[in-house]
Amino acid sequence: MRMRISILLITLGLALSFFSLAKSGALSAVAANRPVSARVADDESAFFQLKGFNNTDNQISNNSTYKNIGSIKNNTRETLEVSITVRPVSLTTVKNWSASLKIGSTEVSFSKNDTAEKQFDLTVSSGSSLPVDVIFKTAGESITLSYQFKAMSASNTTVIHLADTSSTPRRQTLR
Amino acid sequence: MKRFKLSALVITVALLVAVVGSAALSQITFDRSLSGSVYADMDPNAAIVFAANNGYSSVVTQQDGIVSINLAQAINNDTALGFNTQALFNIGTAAAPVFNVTNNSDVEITLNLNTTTAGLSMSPAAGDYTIAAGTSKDFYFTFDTTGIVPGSPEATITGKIEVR
Repeated sequence: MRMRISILLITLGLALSFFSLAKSGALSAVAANRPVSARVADDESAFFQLKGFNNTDNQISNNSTYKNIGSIKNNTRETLEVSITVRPVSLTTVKNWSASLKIGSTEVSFSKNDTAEKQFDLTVSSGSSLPVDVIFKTAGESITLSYQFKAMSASNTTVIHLADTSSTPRRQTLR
Repeated sequence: MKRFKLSALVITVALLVAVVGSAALSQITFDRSLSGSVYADMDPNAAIVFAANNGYSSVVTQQDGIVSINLAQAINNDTALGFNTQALFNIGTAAAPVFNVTNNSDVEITLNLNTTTAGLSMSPAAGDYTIAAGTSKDFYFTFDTTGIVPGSPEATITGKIEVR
């Protein structure tokens, strides 16, 4: 009888140890660290490359043909649908002006007292670049154009938003 | 009497075994005889399996058995280029995630992304990085580069996906 009790207790003890071991953490820990990396660049050497938008001052008044003032380039692997919103700013002292802005083959026009933003909708294939050209008429004063960019691949797997900020201006002055 | 002593001894031994197994004593160490194989992260037989999703095989790569994720590869493999500053990038979507993690272990695991610079985050949203045993989960990234100055130490972002 005592022998049976002993065997029972031993069995019970072993069972307890077995079940508690699984919860003890001695065998359950999983740990791994896997590296992730990325790099931030200025607009001129970035995936959505902008040239001539860094608060650039362009002396082009009263030209009769388009003059190049910058470019945008799609350095991503995919074709991007690009929306560019352009808004004239710093107009308080400008009384008479007009501008025809052309990106690629798409053109929008602004005229005096025109403060409304206008939009370009463009398709930019991978690796291609579009020139930004302008005809600007003024009575000697300057205007500044502020830009916002939104680019999206067809599958939406790459979405890029670029705003005009004080630390990273995306604007051009025409005079 | 002799049987009684023997029984008492056996009971004591059994209780000691139970105490050791309970891990209530934290200083106890275990020696275990182990046998098995070590698998690379992307091997489907590994306990935690990393897999690149469609279109991201160059982003999720493996060297010496360890997965690494280079987000620039998701956009372009030109190392001279980088993510625009003062910008917001979505890299992958819920419908087209960048990578997938399968938990083949018998315990729940949790992923965490710790980076040297703020702005890079892994989706789904923080707090939903737990993967139950026997299941898998997809991940993609958002990258807000606001305030990161190109050329500064913060512009080179390294991080770790911790699996616990």
